[in-house]
Amino acid sequence: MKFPEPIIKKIESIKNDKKRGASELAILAVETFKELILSEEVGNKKIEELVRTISSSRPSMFPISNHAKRLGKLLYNSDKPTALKIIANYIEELKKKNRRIIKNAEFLKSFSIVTCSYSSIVEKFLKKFIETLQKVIVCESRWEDISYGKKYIERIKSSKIILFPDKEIENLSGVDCGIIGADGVTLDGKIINGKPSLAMCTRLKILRKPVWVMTGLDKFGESIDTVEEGFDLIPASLIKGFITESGILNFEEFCSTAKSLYQ
Amino acid sequence: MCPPTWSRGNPVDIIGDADPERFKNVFEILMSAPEVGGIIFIVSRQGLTRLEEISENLIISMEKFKNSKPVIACFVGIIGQEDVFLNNHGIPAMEVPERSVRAMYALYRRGKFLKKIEKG
Repeated sequence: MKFPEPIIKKIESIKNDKKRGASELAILAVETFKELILSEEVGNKKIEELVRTISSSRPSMFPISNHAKRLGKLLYNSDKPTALKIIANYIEELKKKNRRIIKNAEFLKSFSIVTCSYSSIVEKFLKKFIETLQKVIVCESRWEDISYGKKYIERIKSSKIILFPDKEIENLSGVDCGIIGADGVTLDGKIINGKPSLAMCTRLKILRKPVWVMTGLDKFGESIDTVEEGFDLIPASLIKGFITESGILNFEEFCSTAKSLYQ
Repeated sequence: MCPPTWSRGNPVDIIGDADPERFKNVFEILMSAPEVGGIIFIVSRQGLTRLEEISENLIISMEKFKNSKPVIACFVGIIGQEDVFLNNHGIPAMEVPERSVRAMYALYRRGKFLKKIEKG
């Protein structure tokens, strides 16, 4: 089955875009459905085909396939005006998601925290609460001569932020908790995030300090054995909880809620 | 009231195309059913689910039945103000179904305990 040219272009840009993160590309994926519905009279088969094509475009970016699958189900048997309304509501919810996650993380706003490997949602949280947070330690997260932590600090700009060398992580102390984002959360109990997340979480476990994962439910994926270089697989046993758009959830609750939405 | 594919048992699945009217009618039947002691009201977004209307109807029905049974709501994966609205009107809204079930179980145990005390 062939798609119109503008749709093919959109799918190609989802495939090849190395600058935007999974959440932004997920919105682009949803907009592709809108483009398809506007372009012609489409039935369930064409929608299913688009779901399959988009889902396979970036297999390691779980939100893209999750939203494509969920939207495909919501659009099933819809006429054109209804489908367009569903998509408009869906995009609106996607945009609200991050604001809700940050709101749900507000309970951390007066703590001393450590973070590493730099999700956009954690960055937004830090920017919003930097005045009330006691102290923020940012791990250097050095990979191939680039210090992602340093870049992060340059963007947030506050004297409360301290850059912490990765090789010293075993001596980390003086924080109330850790926060990380997630590139993925798998059913078999692993959180995918950049280095040195595993070392940081392990250290905080020894210190008996909680680690919170700030992430949308759309980061849920089936399972994974290996990750790209520069990434860690963190066992869920090192995590206190998941701060999501649906509240603060434990691992089991995260999985069951995400499964009900995206499987 | 429900399409032929409804679950015909507990949990009462009123099917994805349910409009606020169907939610309301089924809820009121359950509220008046003597064999039902409490209701967990779970909603997830399906197409154009009108969440505001569903929440408002729930409050109206609860008032109609004078809050005679415990009701716990759960709006799964929905980012809106419906949970706040329900909480403000005395209906607890939980984030995930598991918590709703635990809360209902706690109410059940509390009810049993109070009955035991009453009997002496």
